[in-house]
Amino acid sequence: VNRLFSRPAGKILQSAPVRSLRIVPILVLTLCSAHLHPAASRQLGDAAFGEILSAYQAGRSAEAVAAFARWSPEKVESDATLSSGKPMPPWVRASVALLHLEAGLANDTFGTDAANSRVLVGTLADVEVHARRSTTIVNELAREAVRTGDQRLLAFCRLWHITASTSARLFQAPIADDPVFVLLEGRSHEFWMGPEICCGGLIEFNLLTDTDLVTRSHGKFSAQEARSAQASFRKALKLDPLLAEANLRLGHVLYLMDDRSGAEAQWQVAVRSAANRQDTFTSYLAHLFLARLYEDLGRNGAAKESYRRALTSLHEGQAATAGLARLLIETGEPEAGWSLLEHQVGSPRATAAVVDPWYSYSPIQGAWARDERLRQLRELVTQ
Amino acid sequence: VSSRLRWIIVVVAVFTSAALAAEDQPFRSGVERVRVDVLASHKGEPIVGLTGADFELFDNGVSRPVEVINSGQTVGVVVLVDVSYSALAFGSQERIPALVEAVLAAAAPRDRVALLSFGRGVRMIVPPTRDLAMVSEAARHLATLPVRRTEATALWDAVFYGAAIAREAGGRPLVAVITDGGDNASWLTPRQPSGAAWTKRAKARTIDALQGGGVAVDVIVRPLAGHTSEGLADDTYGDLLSGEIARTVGGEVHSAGSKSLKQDLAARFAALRAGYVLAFSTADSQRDGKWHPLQVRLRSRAGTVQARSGYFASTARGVR
Repeated sequence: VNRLFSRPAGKILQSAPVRSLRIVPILVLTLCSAHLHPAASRQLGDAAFGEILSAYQAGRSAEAVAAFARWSPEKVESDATLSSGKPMPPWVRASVALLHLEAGLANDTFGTDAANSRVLVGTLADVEVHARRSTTIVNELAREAVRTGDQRLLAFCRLWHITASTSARLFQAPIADDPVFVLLEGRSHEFWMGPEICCGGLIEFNLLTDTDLVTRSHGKFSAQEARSAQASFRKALKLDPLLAEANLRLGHVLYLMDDRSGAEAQWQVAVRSAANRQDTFTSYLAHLFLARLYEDLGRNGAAKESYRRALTSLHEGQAATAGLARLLIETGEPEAGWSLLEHQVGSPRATAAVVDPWYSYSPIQGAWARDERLRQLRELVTQ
Repeated sequence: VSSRLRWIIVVVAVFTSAALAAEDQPFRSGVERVRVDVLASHKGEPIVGLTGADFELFDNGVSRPVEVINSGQTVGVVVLVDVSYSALAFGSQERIPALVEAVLAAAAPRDRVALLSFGRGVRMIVPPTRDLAMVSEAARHLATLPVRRTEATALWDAVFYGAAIAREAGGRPLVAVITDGGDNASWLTPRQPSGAAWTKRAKARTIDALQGGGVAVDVIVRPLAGHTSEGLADDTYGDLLSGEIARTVGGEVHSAGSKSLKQDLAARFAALRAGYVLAFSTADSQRDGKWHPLQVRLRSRAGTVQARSGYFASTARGVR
């Protein structure tokens, strides 16, 4: 945790690799904490929120989350403890926000709207109770962190928002001129600019009413959203020139707009910045995107090398493996290609729950390495 | 008599499949080799033990040397189960075990079967095995997986991985995909609006690679709630039909709701066991994007050969 906060605040966006070994001491601590805590032997059952929160802060997170997740939306809405408005210390409020997030994720409702539509497009006021309550809390904490200069609290708020990504709702930054929040705004615009990313049906529907469409080799895109996305990513980079994910996403928008040289330049910068920050998510995707660009240009050797570098960043990368395998098959090395695929899903390590970053690129696909991020957030609030 | 009847059913199934594939969706050439599924028979009985030297193949009237890349006998099956949000939600999750059972019922004792799931990525659930009870048990577990909204569908990527495992399973490789049909996350063929040239090329490349691998891909369509499998063709998911993959690689599409699903799969497996997969190479000059009629016959021995009537050549020049 100390290492986490020894970095500049913007670096919290880095996608931490899944380090299973690091979980061991946490598990030990959690078990010890649960054993020693006076409430350890008590079942939370119909416990009041205060008791659930105490258990959560004491390290009994799974039990506390399960208990809170069982509450009906109406009960969460009406609970006096949650609605009292009594002033609480910032990190207690952070715990409450995180508990809301975990309960909403456990129920798979976080980010949906109150009417239980699966993909939310509306405003915060329409969101299901866990998302609405916790977003409000975290946004207040972010403003407070800026006022008081509390970088650790600000880092929590940034990471919370990244981890809370589950819907297509337009992201609204709680504070101005913060590189991470500006990046998240840009990511929303990137999502809505066109159907290249997950949930194309939803976006195509949106594009039907868009009067400012541009046609590129990858399809039709909203020119306005593309401009807004680029503006956000450039602004984020001005605020934090080493924010590699902004280079990555700016490059992606440029690529979809057929600016290949611009895209290549951004991805090369992303590769360098991500390497400096050990940002696996960005490093992997920047190499992956470069590989596709080189395939488009017929530079198969460079494409293969980029795929291999992506796999050096993340051995479990299924998208890069598939891309490299197809290219090998196409270029006269079929057995090498098929073997690569077979090894990727057939080897024992393939059972690890590592989602390829490409499958988490869109905000609606959920945060990459979410469990690891939640673990980091829990560490923050239990400090 | 029953043996002869079974053989006729097999011949009809294969011939119909090949004909439909040729009509509905052009058979694309592989970048390096063109694959041709054939059935060789004499007086109604399958001929076994043939090699490439026993076949004569004419591509656009030009004789081409062929090799037998697979001669059936056993089937290496990968059952690829879609566990994405749309496939599990709406009460359809509990149907997974029965659909997997339908595939297992068609498998012979010597066939090896693997079980994989896919959503955001592919997971090996059961590696290739002859222990079908183990596969059944694992399929029942899939029916209890939590349903997650963020679980997208990387269908094309998953089929590619499934093909690789099927090739390793031994025998005639088959990927049987149980899905509702929509892809929204694949790297190999990213979601694009219908008709985008880039997308078409990406799909053609993936299909070429699948064909080069000699893997048959069948799809068992579990329509979304309120849809029929036929209705999927007209819904908003448009070109993301699951059937597209199957038809373009010479596979078959089955409806999960069909009362004859088990019989259809049994006939399909029998056809795969009785057939041969031939392959021949094409020169760059042959990759003209045009229809190439094919003739396949036996060399120096009695019998007939049933094969597709032709293929559309790829235009991918100089990729090798």
